[in-house]
Amino acid sequence: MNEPVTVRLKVNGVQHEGRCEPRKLLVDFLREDLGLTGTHVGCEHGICGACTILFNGEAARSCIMLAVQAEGAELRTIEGLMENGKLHPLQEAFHEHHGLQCGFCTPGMLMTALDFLRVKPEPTEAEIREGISAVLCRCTGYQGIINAVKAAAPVMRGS
Amino acid sequence: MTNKSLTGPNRGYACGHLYFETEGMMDRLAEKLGLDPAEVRRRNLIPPAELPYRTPTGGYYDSGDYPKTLQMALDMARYDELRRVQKTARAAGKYFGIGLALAVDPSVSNMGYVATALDPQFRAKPEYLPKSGATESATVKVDPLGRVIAILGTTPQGQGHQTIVSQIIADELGLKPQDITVVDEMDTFTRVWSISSGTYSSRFGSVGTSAAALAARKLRAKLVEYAAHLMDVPANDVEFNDGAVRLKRGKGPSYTVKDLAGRAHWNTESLPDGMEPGLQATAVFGFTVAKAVDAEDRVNSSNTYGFIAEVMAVEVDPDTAQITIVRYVTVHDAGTIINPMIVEGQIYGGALHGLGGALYEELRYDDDGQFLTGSFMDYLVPTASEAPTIEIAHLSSPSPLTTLGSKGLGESSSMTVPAVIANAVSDALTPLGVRITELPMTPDRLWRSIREAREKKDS
Amino acid sequence: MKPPKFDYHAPKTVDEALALLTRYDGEAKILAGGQSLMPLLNFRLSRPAALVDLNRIPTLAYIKEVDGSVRFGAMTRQRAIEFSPVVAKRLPLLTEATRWVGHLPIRTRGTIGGSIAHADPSAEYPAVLTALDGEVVARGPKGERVLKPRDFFHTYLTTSLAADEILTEVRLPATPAGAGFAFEEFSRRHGDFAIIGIAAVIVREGSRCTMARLATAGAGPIPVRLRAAEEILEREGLGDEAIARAAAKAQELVQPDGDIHASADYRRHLTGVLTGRAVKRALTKVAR
Repeated sequence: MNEPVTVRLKVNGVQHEGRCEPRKLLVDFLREDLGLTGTHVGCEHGICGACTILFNGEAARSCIMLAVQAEGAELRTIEGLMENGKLHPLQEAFHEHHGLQCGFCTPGMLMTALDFLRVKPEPTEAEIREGISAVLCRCTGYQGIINAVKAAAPVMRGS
Repeated sequence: MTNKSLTGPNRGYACGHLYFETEGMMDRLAEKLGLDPAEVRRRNLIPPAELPYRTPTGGYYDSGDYPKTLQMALDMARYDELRRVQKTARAAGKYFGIGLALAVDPSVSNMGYVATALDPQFRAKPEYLPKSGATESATVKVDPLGRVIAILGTTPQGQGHQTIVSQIIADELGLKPQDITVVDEMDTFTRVWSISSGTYSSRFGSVGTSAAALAARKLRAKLVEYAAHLMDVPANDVEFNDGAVRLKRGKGPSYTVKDLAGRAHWNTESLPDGMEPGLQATAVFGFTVAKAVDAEDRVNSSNTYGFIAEVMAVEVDPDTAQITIVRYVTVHDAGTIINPMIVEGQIYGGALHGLGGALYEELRYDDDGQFLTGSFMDYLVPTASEAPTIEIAHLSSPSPLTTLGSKGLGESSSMTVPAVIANAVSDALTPLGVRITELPMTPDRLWRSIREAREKKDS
Repeated sequence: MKPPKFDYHAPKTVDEALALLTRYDGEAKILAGGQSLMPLLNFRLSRPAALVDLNRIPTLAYIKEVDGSVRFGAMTRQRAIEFSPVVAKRLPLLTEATRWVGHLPIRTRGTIGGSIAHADPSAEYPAVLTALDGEVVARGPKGERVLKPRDFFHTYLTTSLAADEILTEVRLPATPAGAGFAFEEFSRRHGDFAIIGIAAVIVREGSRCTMARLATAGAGPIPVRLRAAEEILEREGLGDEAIARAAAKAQELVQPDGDIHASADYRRHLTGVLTGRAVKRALTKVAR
């Protein structure tokens, strides 16, 4: 029963199908089988958060999920954050407020922030700090990211 | 031969250790002399009139105003008020402490410094070839459609070289940063390359920006000369202004970069006699102060030197030994600032990097040599919840050595935070006589020190 | 850092899952939220012959009020618990404790059954189960058994669940209306495992404490119910001195182990400090 399995799932609104061993991690399936390399592999033990995606609308760490567990699921990855060729308000805000430097944690940060702002649409700075403490960043010292999330929140509420 | 984990230089390497010791010593000195730690530092700062300053080891501090930087930090932190708050807190049995840290922030390694590892007698031999230098290159070119492209020798990992270079070139050529394309992918096989090329030692801010500015200026001079030739006037009669080359006085044609590009590429006959065809310029910027190690082992190991002054106030919970940062002020002098947002991003990042080393991160082994911190579950990188609020201010003492007066700054507070927080905690625990001599300050280690000091006091 | 090979099964019912466990005779591991197991697989610290994935059994996820208790299907996500109005009303201690469990993306996948069956000594949910003296339901080929915390937690990462059993339900008695509660935790960073955590429920009538419930996380191989400390409060009331005595007693009741994050002495000390803080904070929530 370690035979390859077929995984059918929707990613960013597009139906996909792939075939892999059941032990293949979801993050590797996204990157290698679907060619969606925007989701990054940082630590492979579920701590750094760079691999965070939306799984059926909720942020989850794809390095500690199996691809086969995504059968029938709807995923959103960083590639699906833009809409109609326009940057998402979070992406705009990260750009405006220098919320990224090397960019490695950024896909995970954005997807985590997206989920966080859905759960807490009007956060205080302290709440934002807590919300993004789920993802490690070495470059920014987090202040640019916090400023970006703070700026994006009202824009997202308005839309 | 060791089975321990690999280590290597990373951001402010060894400076964190250096300043932890030297700034700790300043506080010990202050205690012994019964002087305020700020006063002891004030009395020992190189005054601005003595800069550029040659250090005993051969260093050459190019510019700065150390007393002013310190005073700015003290003023911003409201230092006197903090000391009053401390007095009240101490009377109530609380552990409230204030730490200071000052640091010279070196940037751009002089490759010659590696020779200090060699014996001076060996270096004196005729067959020995000395080493020295710190250079960087940049190429700026204009294609037939008028697109301006810059090619760098640095290799950024998020420090915003594209943004900064596009600003520099846009300023020089009267364009907008969006008009400039910057290539920051380095290939030693196909690009201009020197022994010192790359991104490390905070060198881009200093030598990288200088090369970009020089290349842009070279190109601009060529464009001005060409346009003057087309207008049939002396070069002195024209200037580059508002996106085009124009007559300084009176009305006449003007030529934008795009205008000149099309003509230069398609009609080389229109170029002045003796002018090299094409529209590109390469500049390699170097430092004359980057010299080889001398016979007395002295060397100017870096080329530009910034300055940092920091103040931090903390409260230590006597029951849990948890440290709360109440105020953290940092003042930086990195010469001319080209992009304040990028500068602040480096300061926030550097400060948290330093905080990680001061409080959370370590490579630990047990007595059998087993690595105990081999995953992120045990090797603790600070998250946003651990990041303090940071108040940042800038001072600018332009460097006389670089084209724009800028200095490097990327390593910044990674060097000073271990010192400033250790000093703050030591100051907080002065009533117990506890001094921080080891980092990271884990809650367990701190609690033990507090407990031992209390037991000693009670006995 | 990729998982080793294993047989993978995603049964649709509990009976199917049980049959698989029996078939693999102790060589299969149950995959619930995966937030603890997957890192172990990625490190290859765990090499099971098979994974039995419970995520396709819809009947295992529910939150129900039954006779003064709240019953959770084992696969109920921590995130669902965090935002459940039923839990907020009937088990506010659990809502508060849930916010200490890792980070939101972990809680998206992590489950109450998984956390309790995994029995990490620093985990929050086992401490809450112990403080409230709840129950877990284990189902095996021979049927169901209902277990109390003292019969369930054995030592680090070890419970009385047999290799052919699945934890199917967690039952927690509803907190009396007007009771005070607090989950107090000390950790190195936000979201880390507790160095010490204290779950507290206090019922006050006038100046008397009619019920005190206190349990630990991180103070030993399994959660410790601080009964003797509870008795001090129930006997002597909720004044500062009584609380201080209860906190001192709490320290005596635990035998913590040390690790690189905290020594045994420090954990013991923190047990006392946090017990006092938990009780005081619980008191601030008592209805007037």
